[in-house]
Amino acid sequence: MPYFWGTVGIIYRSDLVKEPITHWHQLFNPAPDLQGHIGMVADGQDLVGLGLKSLGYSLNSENKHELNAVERLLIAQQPHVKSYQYLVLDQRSGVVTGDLRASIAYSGDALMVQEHHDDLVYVVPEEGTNIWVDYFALGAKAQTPELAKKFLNFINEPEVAAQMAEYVYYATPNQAAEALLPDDFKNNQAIYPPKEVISKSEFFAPITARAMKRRNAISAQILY
Amino acid sequence: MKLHTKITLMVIPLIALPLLAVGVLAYLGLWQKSEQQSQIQVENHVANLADDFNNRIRDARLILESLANDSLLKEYLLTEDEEDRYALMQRPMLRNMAGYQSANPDLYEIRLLLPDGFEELRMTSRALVNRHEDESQSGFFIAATNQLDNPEPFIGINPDNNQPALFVSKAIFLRNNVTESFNSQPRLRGILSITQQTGRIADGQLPPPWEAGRVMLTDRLGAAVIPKGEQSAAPASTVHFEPGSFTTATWHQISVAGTQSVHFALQLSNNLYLHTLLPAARIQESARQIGALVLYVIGLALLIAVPLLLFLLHHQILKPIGLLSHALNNLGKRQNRVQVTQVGNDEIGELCRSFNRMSIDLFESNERIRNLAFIDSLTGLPNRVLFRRNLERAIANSQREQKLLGLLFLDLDNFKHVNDTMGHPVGDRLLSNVAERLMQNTRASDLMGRIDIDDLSANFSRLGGDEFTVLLPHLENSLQAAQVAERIIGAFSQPVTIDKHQIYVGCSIGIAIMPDDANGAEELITNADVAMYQAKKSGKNRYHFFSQSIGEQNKERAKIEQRLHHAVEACNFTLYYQPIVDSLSHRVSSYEALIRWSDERLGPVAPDRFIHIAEENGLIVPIGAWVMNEACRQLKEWHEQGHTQLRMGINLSVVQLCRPDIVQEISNDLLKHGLTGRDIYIELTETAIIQGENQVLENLQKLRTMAIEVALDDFGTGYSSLSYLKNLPIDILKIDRSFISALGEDNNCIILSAIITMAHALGLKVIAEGVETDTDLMFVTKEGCDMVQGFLFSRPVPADKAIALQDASSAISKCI
Repeated sequence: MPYFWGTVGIIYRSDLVKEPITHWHQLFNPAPDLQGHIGMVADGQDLVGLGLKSLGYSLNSENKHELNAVERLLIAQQPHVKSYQYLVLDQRSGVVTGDLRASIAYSGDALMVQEHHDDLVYVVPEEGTNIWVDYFALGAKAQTPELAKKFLNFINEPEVAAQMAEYVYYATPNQAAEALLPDDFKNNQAIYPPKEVISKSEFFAPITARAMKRRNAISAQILY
Repeated sequence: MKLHTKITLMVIPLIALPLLAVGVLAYLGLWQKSEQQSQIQVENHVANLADDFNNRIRDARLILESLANDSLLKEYLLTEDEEDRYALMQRPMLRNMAGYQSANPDLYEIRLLLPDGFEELRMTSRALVNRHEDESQSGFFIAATNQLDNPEPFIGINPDNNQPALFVSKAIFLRNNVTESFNSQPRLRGILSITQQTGRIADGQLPPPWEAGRVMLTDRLGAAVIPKGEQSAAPASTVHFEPGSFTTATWHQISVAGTQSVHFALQLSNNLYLHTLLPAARIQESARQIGALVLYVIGLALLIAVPLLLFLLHHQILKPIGLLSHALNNLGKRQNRVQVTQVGNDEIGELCRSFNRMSIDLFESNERIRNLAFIDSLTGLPNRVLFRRNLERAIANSQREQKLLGLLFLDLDNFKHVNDTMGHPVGDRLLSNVAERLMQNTRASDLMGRIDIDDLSANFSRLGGDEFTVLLPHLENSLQAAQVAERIIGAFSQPVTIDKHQIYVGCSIGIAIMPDDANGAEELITNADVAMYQAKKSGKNRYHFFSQSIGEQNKERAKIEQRLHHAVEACNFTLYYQPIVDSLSHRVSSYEALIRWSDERLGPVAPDRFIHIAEENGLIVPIGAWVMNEACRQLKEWHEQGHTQLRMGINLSVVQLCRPDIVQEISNDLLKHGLTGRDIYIELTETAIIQGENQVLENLQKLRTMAIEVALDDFGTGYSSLSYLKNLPIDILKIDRSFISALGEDNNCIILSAIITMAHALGLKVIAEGVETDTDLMFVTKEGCDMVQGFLFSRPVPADKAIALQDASSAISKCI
């Protein structure tokens, strides 16, 4: 059962970055003012996928050359990356202290961190991004399925779902709940990217084992 | 052969041969040692390379071993579903590998390959992009599969970075216990491979100073393991080792591309050899350098040592020996005091000192011997000969120093008298005393510098008799000479006491200064002598500088002397005759023959101007002879004219009288002219007789035996001692004209009277000279004077006038 959906984008400090960030390549091939102040994620799927997006390829590409290009891109970016540890969301966060000037962030997380600093900007790059959906799954051999279903019903009640969405700044797939949300939430492009961006964005799709192996090998070089 | 040459010929081989021998041995030894050293250095380096290489292999194998034992790996390899492996197991496996890598960063690539060569897992720390996933054709994989139980390390080019790399692999055999029987053999599931840098072993280079050499890796057949063109520094293609052509761990010579090289090989593993190639020249270079250095040092040592030793030998031995030899030569020549400059304290120095002592002894004894001949034995002063020598030396010194040289000519005023009255022994002691006093009184400090204190006696001499000289060699002016003279005269004003007799001996000093008064030694002596006579003449007991006027006199004297020779040769003399008249009859009883000399240049020269010169230079002898002959001739002539009673008074000089054969000559003259001894008498001066020696007295006695009378001339001017008249062989006393001309003064009359009385008492006839007036004549006649002579009757006149006087006097006497 879908729970929230969102995007992956870039959060950056507009006061510390000369140029507004609008593209992935500004993160993967950073300008001098960003070098050494970049935050990435420790997830190989995201690293390779977003790297592919920055090069204009499909998020799910299995093309050997495209993967080689991403490998080179990530290796070249590595010296400029401050951290591959995912963003902390409170006031200790790197983007709040200024240690990080730009970082990969999930949309809702970005909006949460923005509460701690006025110059933080979240953007979904124009090349498009990965659109994800969080699901609740009920285990086939769960011991108290009825209770679980009650809980899922509860959190899917429109008022509850709307309240949770507002709290975590993620879009809810619950249309009744969505109707209850205020306009400024629904018009927030960080939560609801424009259509052009959505149209360029992709979900992760299943890929072949060898492609997976390749992606693992690429991210292993960066992360291990 | 000279000692110098001998020593040179001895020393050079003595030094050179051992040095050269040592040099050659050292050269060979060092050469070999250095070559060995070089080889050991290279071997050590190569061994280090090999160790490094082996360590890499060992490290890689350790990691491979632990990876192979990793349960995750085993499970991974036994998981047949790709998707399971990649989705679930790949990432932990990679993280695992990354862990090993971080422990050993040199191992930059760890791979897991499937048996078909597919690259299942790859972890690299070098951010190397993977180029191939299929490694089935890669060298390392082939090498590993060729020997699965224990794959050989493989060296080859890593295609990912085109660098030589060392691959160490391990095959993993596993049995799937789920699907396979426990009895089945484990199957090959994968090959683990580690890639790392080869390290220095593959760069082909050797460190300095062996850059010219190189190392290379080959398999057992000798083929380079790193393909041509890939091994950076060493073109492996230039060397081909034939199988079995190389041995390991020994050095041997091979030729590489025409260059003589040395080769050393090490076996690294079964099929891997490490070769070291060095140009033979290079490995010998340091040996050659050391050898050259040794030869250079030896050469330098020779260059320094040989001349130094020769110099030292020459300086320390040959030169002193030469000096000694030279000194000995000089000693033989008996020149001056010979001394050798002492050289060191060694035996040669001792020899020199001995020589010097001997030389001094010899010199001093020589001096003594020489002095015996030159020292006046009476006074210890230099004699005339040494005086001349000292004078010459002093003249040379004063000319060199440009100082005045004074010569004091000193003559005792009263010595003759002392000698005569007190005897020769006293005289001798007086002289010795005088010499002492001279030296004592000129030692005073105010005279210092004018007289050589160092060699005092050199400045004094006794020339003979009572003549002394003092040399003043460092005068600033002539006044200083006068000071010395005054000092001496002052000293002699004190009486000399000899045998309780107090003897006053004054002295007269003549001073001549060089170069003012003389140009040479002879002239200086003469002039000092002249000045001394001047001092005597001006009253004795005083000094007198030689003056130009004395000099003038001397010049005149020299002129006279010169002309006198002419006159003697040409018989340029005439005789004048002065009549001597009988005091009673006033008749001429005799004539005194008086010589006259009129020179064509000098004009008339009075006898008192030239007689003493003739006496001094001996011309008086021929002159006297001529006078004797001429007077006799004239007398004979007059006798023949009838004046047979006339006699002739002829003057004889003491010089003539001293000659033994004078009597014979006179006798001859008398015979020649047919005269007898009674016809003449001879006149002598008082001093001639007083100074007369035995010869004079002897001659006088002989003359008297010939009946020739002797008249004592000028009586009254000398000692006029009547006491000795009685002892002298004289017959006539001629009273000096000074008595007659001064008859009116004092007691002259009485004295004259006494003289005449006494002479008569002694049986002597008396002639009064210088009778010029009738009064004189009256007086002497009254006193009994036998004969008179003087201007009253006639001056000396030529023969014809003289004889005319005879006639006249006869007439006068007839008138009387």
